[in-house]
Amino acid sequence: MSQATDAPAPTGEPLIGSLLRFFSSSIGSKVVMALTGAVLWGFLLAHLGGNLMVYFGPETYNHYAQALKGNAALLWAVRGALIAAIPLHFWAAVQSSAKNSAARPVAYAYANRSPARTAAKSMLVTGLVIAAFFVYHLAHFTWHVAHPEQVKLLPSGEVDVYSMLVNGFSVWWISAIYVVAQLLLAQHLSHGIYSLFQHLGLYGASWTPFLKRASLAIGYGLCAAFISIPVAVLLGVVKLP
Amino acid sequence: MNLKLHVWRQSGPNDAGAMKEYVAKNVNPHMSFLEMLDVVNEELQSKGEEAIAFDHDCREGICGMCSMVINGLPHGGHRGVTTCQLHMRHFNDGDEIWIEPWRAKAFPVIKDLVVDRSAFDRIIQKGGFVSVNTGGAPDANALPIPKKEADQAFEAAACIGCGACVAACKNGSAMLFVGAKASHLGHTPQGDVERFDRARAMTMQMDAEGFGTCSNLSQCEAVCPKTISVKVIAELNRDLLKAQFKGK
Repeated sequence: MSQATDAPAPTGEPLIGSLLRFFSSSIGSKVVMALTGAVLWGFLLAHLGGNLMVYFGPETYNHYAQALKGNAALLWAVRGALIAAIPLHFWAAVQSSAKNSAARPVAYAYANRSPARTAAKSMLVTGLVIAAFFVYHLAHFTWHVAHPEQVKLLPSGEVDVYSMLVNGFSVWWISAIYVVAQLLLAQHLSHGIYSLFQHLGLYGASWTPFLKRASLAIGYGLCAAFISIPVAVLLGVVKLP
Repeated sequence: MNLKLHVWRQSGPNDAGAMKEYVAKNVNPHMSFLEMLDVVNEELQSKGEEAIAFDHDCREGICGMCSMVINGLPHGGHRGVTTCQLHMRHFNDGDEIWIEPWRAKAFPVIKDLVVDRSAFDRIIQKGGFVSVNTGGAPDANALPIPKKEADQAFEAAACIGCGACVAACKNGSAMLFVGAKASHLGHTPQGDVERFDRARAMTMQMDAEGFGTCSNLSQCEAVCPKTISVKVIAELNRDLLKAQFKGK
């Protein structure tokens, strides 16, 4: 008879129980990582699109910022997605890292030379630094607690987001923090984008090699676009009117 | 040529073990790596010392028994080569060589360079088979298999279960091995029937054995003596994901 009756899932188990068990397995926690990573990547794309409006001048940029703040439904939908995705992404990372360090209790005497990209090997480190940066970034531009002196109000009483950005990035060391964080984010994305497809079982002999290169290009391209803003402020391309 | 070897010596599973230095004299460059160790062992035994224990069997690169990490690379790191097929001509006179066992919680050291790989056997027992009821043997070619599917099954079936993938992986993950077995059976009509149960049962056992998770570094693919692609890992992920929603 079929030994496949050994299958661990008891028949009639509710879907939710089976999903919970799946998501705490080694492959399942990576699926959580991939799905939440995709959400965060999508957010970055939208965030970049908004940020680049700074090049259209103070009026356009402030108008965009006010429109975004005025649309509570959209704002909270995005915040909700982030509030759900970030802890799950973190939890999946902690869970698999714990399994991984337990899986090799005795280290090699001669360092493991099996080839792998440094970016791929340092996902946990870059992820943690990006998380710390994320908190600083919120404190700077959203909560206005990191550098409150940079916050000026428009005649309408709204926050002048454009001048806050220019004032912020005019300080070289603040810009440096942003540039370094973006370089690490580029590293993280350059492996993460390819990796999320692999975790979801999306592989094609014809397109996966292209995806690997695209992952590098998208990761670094996205972050270069983000970095362009503090650089433009420091060079005086983006300045106060 | 003459070589300086640093070899992991461990008298038994409960011994702490340590790296020990040996000198290999007059090594013939045509020798395989295992033959070089044979010569070192003969000399050790002639001096009344304990020979270095290492796994080996066919010495033709197809059995999957030889297992040692040479200078930080499983099987020495030459593409598509097992330790028994690695020849001393790849080394230079005066080289220092570090030789260690596979390192993984799921592969405990039995002695010196010999590790217990029965974790792989237990994973196979959970799903690395095709259930066939007894009866008359079916006619050959009665069940046509498209060439593309047969090729994919054969590529994955090349896995010799040596464990180099686990040894190379930063995370000590066995995903390439499990993926290869699932892909090998899943690409044939006989094995396709049980593919979801198989994916689930084998990965659950893999977790229970204490292997790490896959971070898609592809270190496994780089060192696999049968050059199996990480494609099989994606296939396993896909099967497991589908299994969730099929309620199987």
